[in-house]
Amino acid sequence: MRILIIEDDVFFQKFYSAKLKEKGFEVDVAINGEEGITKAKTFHPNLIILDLIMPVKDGFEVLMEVKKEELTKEIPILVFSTLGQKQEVERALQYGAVGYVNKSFFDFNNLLAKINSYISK
Amino acid sequence: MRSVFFMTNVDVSAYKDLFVKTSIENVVSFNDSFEKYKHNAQDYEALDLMFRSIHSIKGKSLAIGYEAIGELAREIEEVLYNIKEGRMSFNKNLKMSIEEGMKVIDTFVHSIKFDNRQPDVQMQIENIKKAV
Repeated sequence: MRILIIEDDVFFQKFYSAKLKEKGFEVDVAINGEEGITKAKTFHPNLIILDLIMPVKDGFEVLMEVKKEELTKEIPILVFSTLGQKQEVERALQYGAVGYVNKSFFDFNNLLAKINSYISK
Repeated sequence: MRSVFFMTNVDVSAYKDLFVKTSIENVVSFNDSFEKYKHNAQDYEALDLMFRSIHSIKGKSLAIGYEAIGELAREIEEVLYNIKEGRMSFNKNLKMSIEEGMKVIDTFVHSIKFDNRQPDVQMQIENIKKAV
């Protein structure tokens, strides 16, 4: 199972990448929105974990483009949020994200459960 | 201490070094952009980079358990978000209080290796709120 992490912060890239690889996922990382859109098409992920605040193209632009492309529109997308981003998360859900994970306070088992539930749908 | 590392049983020391390294980069990025923005309030690229830098510091600090720093970063992030949205302008008091806040964050991320104790940031947070 392939997961694409679209996240500009190196700390979260490495942390999530390492933890997901430990669980047997094949993981690729994109460092900005534009790279994320390209990798969504070339890496063929089963799921995308997407940060909303990024350089070049932000998470909302990624959502809009990925959701309109035939090749990528069915890929489930979980957005990263941090505290205080409630409105942004709601907007992301309206744009087609299937759910969100709080990247600062969260349970990794909960993240895995969400990933597995969306991948298997 | 609420922390993702507490929940996942991760080797904290490995990620702490990464936190320090990336946070120092974020602080430098913020301060460089802040200098530009102080001289030109139309420099939206600088404003955006400040916002993304402090957003990163906030997220990482809260994740690794440095809640005080995370809360201070959140306060600064909120102000920058409102400036980006046109709801607030960058006045003199805000500049000073943000500068003060960033000095605390800067000092902390540089000193973590030797002293893990979080500073008391209530005064900096209060000053930012007053400046708003």
